[in-house]
Amino acid sequence: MTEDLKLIQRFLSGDRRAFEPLVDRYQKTVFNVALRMVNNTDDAADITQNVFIKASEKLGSFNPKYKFFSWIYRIAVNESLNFVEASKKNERLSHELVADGKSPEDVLQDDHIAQSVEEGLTKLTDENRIVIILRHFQDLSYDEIGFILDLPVRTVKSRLFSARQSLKKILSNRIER
Amino acid sequence: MNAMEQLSDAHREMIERELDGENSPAESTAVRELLATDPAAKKYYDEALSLHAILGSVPETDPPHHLKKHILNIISTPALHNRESLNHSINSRFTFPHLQEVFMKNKLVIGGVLAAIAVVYFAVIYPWPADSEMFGTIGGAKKYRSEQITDNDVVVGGQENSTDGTVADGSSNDGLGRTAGVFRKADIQRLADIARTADVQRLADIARTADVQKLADIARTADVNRLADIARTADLFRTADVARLADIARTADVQKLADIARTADVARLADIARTADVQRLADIARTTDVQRLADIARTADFFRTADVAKVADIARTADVQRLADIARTADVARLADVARTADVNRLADIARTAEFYRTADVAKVADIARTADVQRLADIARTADVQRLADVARTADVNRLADIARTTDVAKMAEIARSASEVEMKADDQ
Repeated sequence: MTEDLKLIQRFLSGDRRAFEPLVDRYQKTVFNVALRMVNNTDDAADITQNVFIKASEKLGSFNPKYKFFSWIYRIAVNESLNFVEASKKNERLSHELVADGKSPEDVLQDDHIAQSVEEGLTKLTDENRIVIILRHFQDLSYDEIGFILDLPVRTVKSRLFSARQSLKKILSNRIER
Repeated sequence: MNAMEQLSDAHREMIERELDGENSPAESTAVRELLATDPAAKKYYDEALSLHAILGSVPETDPPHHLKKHILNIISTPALHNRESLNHSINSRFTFPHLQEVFMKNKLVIGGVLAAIAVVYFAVIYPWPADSEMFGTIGGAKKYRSEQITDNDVVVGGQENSTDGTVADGSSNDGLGRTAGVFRKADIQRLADIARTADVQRLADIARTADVQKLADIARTADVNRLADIARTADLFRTADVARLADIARTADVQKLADIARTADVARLADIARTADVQRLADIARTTDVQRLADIARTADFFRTADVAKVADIARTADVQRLADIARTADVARLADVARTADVNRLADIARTAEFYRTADVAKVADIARTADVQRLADIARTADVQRLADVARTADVNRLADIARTTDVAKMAEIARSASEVEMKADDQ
């Protein structure tokens, strides 16, 4: 039995403190997934909080044949996507952060690659952004991404390809430099 | 025509899979051959690699400091049973193998409790400039402080006689960060002097009432070496007021100290315990009346069955961080077996495997540890050049090691250690 499962068992038996190591282990991961999706620290913190609350509420239905981290990733992705949708985040991002007078070239003139990438991500569609996040920032395999997004591996690969091509165009100046 | 348009879908996918680490060895060989013979493929590969490199250069962001506390405050327990009483809870721990973590870390408990006391003392009692807003009012503090040195006596690196609490060390602006920053820079000898003259009852009172989470946060952010230096050089440890420390430990709220030890960074506490004056810690442990420590020592499987001298040797020479991680996840009986039968020096040497760590990129090392083949890593650990690794370990960057330890998959490391031990034992059997 994995350490995660032991903690889950303890939590489900009434030991509230058993949840703390799970938060320790996964809060940074969840937070970063959310942050890349919404590009706002406060929103990402809210999403992370919601993810763990939902996880604590739904742990009873967790199927131990799956890995806990995959399961919580799935919650994190869904929460992030729901947040983006509910708050019309795409519109805000595209209007306020990306199309705020800067051309993609201008964006890429920024000294910080991280900032360029983060802004580039906001220009991708939600479905393309999430596969880039899971593959490149969370280092998940095709199978794991497929599980989390409930997609066949074939679709994961084609979506990754499409997402990379889009991002490559956005960051083309930097890549060819 | 660009590189992508000149490539077949199959070749493009092979290259993408290669960069994603999804190819088999045979497929990787095919990709290498393709890249060597097809300029379009090479160009596509290089472009894709650039994108990977750029994305890989984006650092992770730490969540806000308060987030974990908020989460834990909000969640509710799907309680099937009421919370057990403390004593029952303590006793029951020893009947469940999954709680071996507490007791496998028992070599850390003494250090943890002492470190907690030290943290309580230095973080709360010590008259840090401008941290009163952080901890609120503590009754009698003013009187206590009047018997101690003043703020102006405090030598704080780079900002002597500062009265505004601003620490020029890049710490965050919040009170906690500021306190940790001051803690990092404070004058050791001065702290030692204060510790020597401290009011025992006062320390105990504060230990009972302090904000556990905040203290744990401080423990996490404080500088390990500085804590160790303090522990080594402070009169608190060196000149014996053992009876005084014992008094503190006896009268302080053990549960609260345990909470601090539990929520603080274990590796950090372990480092303190490792580098502090062992003899002094032993003296303190001997005279301290902490029922919990005694219970642990009496009932933990590890101590009951393992060769004590051997375990002590391991604890003394091994990388504490690694042992602590392993202890958290490993099987008690197995560890006990290993402790009984394994070659101590070998285990310690394996634990010190640090060439890899000293020079490598932290995130990359963590990625490797997360994804690598366990058996292979175990083999490497088993066969590595021990002396060289030990040399490297001595010169390794502590912060880098800590970063790696924080981001590495603990379960995987434990699995590696288990696997390595199995190989060792099989070799011994043969």
